[in-house]
Amino acid sequence: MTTTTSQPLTITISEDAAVHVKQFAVAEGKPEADLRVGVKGGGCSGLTYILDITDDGPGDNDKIIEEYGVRLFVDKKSYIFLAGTVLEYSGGLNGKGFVFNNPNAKTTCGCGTSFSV
Amino acid sequence: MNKFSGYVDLGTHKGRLSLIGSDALDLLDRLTTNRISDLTSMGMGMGAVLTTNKGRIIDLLGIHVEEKGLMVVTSGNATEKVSDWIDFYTIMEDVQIKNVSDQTFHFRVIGTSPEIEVLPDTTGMKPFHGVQTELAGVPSLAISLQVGNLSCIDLIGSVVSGDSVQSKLDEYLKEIRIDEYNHFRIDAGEPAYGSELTEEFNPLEAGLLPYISFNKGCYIGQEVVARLNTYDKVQRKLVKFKWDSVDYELSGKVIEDEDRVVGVMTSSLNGLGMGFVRKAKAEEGNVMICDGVKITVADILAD
Repeated sequence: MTTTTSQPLTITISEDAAVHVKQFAVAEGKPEADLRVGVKGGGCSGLTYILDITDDGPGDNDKIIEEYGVRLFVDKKSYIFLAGTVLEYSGGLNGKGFVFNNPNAKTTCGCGTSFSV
Repeated sequence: MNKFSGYVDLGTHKGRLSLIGSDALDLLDRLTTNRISDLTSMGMGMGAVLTTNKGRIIDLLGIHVEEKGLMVVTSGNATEKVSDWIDFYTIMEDVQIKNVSDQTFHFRVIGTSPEIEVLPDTTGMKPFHGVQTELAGVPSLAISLQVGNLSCIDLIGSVVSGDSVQSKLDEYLKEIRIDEYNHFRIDAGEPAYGSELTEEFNPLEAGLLPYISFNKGCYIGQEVVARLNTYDKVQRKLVKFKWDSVDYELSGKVIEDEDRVVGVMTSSLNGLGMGFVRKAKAEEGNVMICDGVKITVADILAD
């Protein structure tokens, strides 16, 4: 009999994205800041991604994820919609900037900033 | 349209939600078709459509700024659905939603005139804007509305004092039964939840253009609604029909023209109806067949 162990779904950030988060934090004069990741209602498809450099620290209901020297704060309700997401960075002239590869997203709007589940 | 005046008890025909919290206005702006963010001061109000991400109608809302927050008027049967929809999209926002339908009265005075001195003068007031007033000593929110070509006033207040308000209205006005009101609203081309306001149809088909802002930015369903408008992709239009016999109930029946299905009747009462037909057929005077009855397009409700 084979057994499988399922990894708990979490939110991850790519190394390239983490580098760019740190660069943005420095540019905003907050080199020690963290990244708030979340969703809010709205956008063409229903839910819109939120990314925010913050030096407020985590909230009581936040999950904290640390990777490549960057701490991500995700509130619990947003986490439901983001579990399994990989935050990546698409650079270059044709790049889109930060990209959410979200396995929960059934559809995304034309500009890619909102999604439905 | 007939000369019509009186008042109707919309207590259960409409629903009322109270939204409080610093993000309530912003959240509703992100969820509905109209520029709700413009409602910056007490008394202001606006109609707006709640749409799915496919641009289909959930309900037509009246959104009003009160002292403590927002009063959202829904269709009676849609209240739970609207409340759940708003609640689902309340994630990090400071918004508390409460269904106050059972705690509030809601009367609509139809065909208002300045002679009815107990009512506030809403002359010149924009539709959906309101004013705090007292009727029979009862604090009420009076909202100015236009239904068809008639001016109306909606009165909303605490249900505890609803009987006093109704007694005062009875002194001046005749109470209109809901079935009479339904006939009036069909004649006025006012869409209703479950008939014209369903996820079968989009706001442009249903003549809800006045409740859509095309430059407000994103809201749920915006991409679809904007595309339909920009590329003139609306396939059906809501029209009003008339027919000779008052005996036929045609709601839900298909509409045919030259033996081809061209639409569906969505409301019908006493020889009057509303239905959606293919755009090419939506011309005043066009005659079609519905369940064997000859029906004539009397008005185009969606331009």
